Amino acid sequence: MAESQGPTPDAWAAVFARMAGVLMTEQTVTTVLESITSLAKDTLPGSDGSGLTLVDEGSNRSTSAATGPLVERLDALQYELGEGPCLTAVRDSVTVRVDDLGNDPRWPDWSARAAEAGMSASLSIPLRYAGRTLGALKVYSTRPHVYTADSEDILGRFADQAAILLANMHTLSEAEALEERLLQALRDRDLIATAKGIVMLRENLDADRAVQRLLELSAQRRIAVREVAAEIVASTHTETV
Amino acid sequence: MNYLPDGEHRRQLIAALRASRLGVEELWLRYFALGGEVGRMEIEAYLNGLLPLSRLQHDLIAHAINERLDEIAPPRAPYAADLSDRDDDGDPGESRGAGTDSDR
Repeated sequence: MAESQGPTPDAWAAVFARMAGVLMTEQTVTTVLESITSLAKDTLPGSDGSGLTLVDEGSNRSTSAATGPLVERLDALQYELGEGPCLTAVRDSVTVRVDDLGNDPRWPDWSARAAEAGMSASLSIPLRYAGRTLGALKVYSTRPHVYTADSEDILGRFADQAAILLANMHTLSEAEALEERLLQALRDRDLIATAKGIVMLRENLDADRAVQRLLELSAQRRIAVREVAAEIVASTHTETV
Repeated sequence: MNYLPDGEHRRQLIAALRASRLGVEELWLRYFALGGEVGRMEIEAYLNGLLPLSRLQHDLIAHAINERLDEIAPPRAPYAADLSDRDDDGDPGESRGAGTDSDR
């Protein structure tokens, strides 16, 4: 079967280069997820759609992306019904291949709806990184028996790369959050230092006593030092105007 | 005039830190935002009773912990004065600010 050949090493290189490019040029999670699903669909010939679901620690669906509304709906339906090949892939951390949805007894409710919608075959692969299952990647086809053991291997290798990207993207957004918090800490510190200077002048205190004064005001009124400082700084405007 | 809490003081400081659920990293960031001057390593050494710090640095650490405790504390019931403040001008923060100024 032509489908089972899979991409050549050159094609793989191109896929990963595109993935790396995603990380550098597009920062949003959604864009990265959409690129992965679109690449997965192109990677396995005969696929009509692809979807990706990320789950939290409790296996609840957190984020998802799909190549089209039908795939999106079928994925969402799995989480509503609590059954489906992708859920099995995530929960048991195994590859799940469905050759013919019309003749598969494993997920009766979901399969019936998916078959009704025109889907025939699917392949779901868990996204694993550092011993944790991050979610699952799946491809769908409107034709039965499209996917083979080779397809499992190809999508599996693709999923390994996608998981590395996703895990690092997570780290990246945490680093951005930390940077934002550091900047906020610097802004607070600056505001408090300004208020300290004003209190030193107003109350004729040395630097340490002025800080103690700010801490006292904060403790007495049960509001953050930052807010006390903001009021003091703001009060100089009204005085001078 | 450096300070190193021991005995009951140290026990209270550690108990408050534990209740605040702040890690050293997070505590240091908050302490730094308040204007704290020493690094993360020194904070850790201070908490372990290994390095004395000035009273001001101690108070900044204590305050960083206490602000966190206020943040995660359950809601408090308002007093009648708090409620009438709101009726007067719709901005209780502003009127409480005026009250503190008049203390001086």
